[in-house]
Amino acid sequence: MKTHWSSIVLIIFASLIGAGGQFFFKLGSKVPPSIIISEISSRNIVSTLSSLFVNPVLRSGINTILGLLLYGIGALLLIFALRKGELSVIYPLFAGSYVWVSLISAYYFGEEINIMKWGGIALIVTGISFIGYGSSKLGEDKEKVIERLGIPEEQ
Amino acid sequence: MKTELSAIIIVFLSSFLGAAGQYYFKKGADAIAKISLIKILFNKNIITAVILYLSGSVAYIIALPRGELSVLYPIVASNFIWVVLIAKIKLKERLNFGKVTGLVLIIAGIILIGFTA
Repeated sequence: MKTHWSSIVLIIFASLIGAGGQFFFKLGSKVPPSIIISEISSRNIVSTLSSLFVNPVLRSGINTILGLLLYGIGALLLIFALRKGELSVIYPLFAGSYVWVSLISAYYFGEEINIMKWGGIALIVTGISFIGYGSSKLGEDKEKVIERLGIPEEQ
Repeated sequence: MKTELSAIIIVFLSSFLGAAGQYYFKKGADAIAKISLIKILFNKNIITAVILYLSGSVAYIIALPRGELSVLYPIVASNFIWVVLIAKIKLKERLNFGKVTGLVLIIAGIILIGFTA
């Protein structure tokens, strides 16, 4: 199977949406769920709805829900991308979300991204790419060739 | 902002719950021969998978305010470690060069990021 271009567009989109989900998760996690629940229970429906985006506690809850929603959409897009795409191509591109989240952490949350963090991200993205390759038809076929040649397996 | 050790441990746990969820999704999906919404919604394995997934997400949200996103999110990649190991042990899927190399690199990456916390 060759990866269709639409899958590549989908998966880049999915990695961005997944990173967006992390942004809203982090924003929403500032207020503990127990405080959000007590805030909602202290109001009636009209007052809750009318101050949904104004009240910081309620807005925090909205952010968490938005994070969950984006996370779910990202996962769905990954599944769709895999239908017309190879794991060895799709996985590395989806792992791009680790780079996006690092950039978001630096620019929006003022976290320090030093050389060690970038090194770690690079290792993780490369590692996910290798797993994608190993799980793809390409990687497994190569393994079969090695078997046929009689090269003993490591484990 | 420093990242608390407890947050790191919770994210590892959250990724493991997610990986366990993936195992039950796989078991459920293999058991359902013809796709029908009713069968998917009432499949024991799928329900288990969804519960595990949700618990993993809740754990992650609990951990997030206790640390830096740039430290905690990369640890989510440990999900790949658990999935490959569970697939090997429970589903008897074979390890190969790509998978083993990938696991080693991901572990090294997480350790490197862990040192910055």
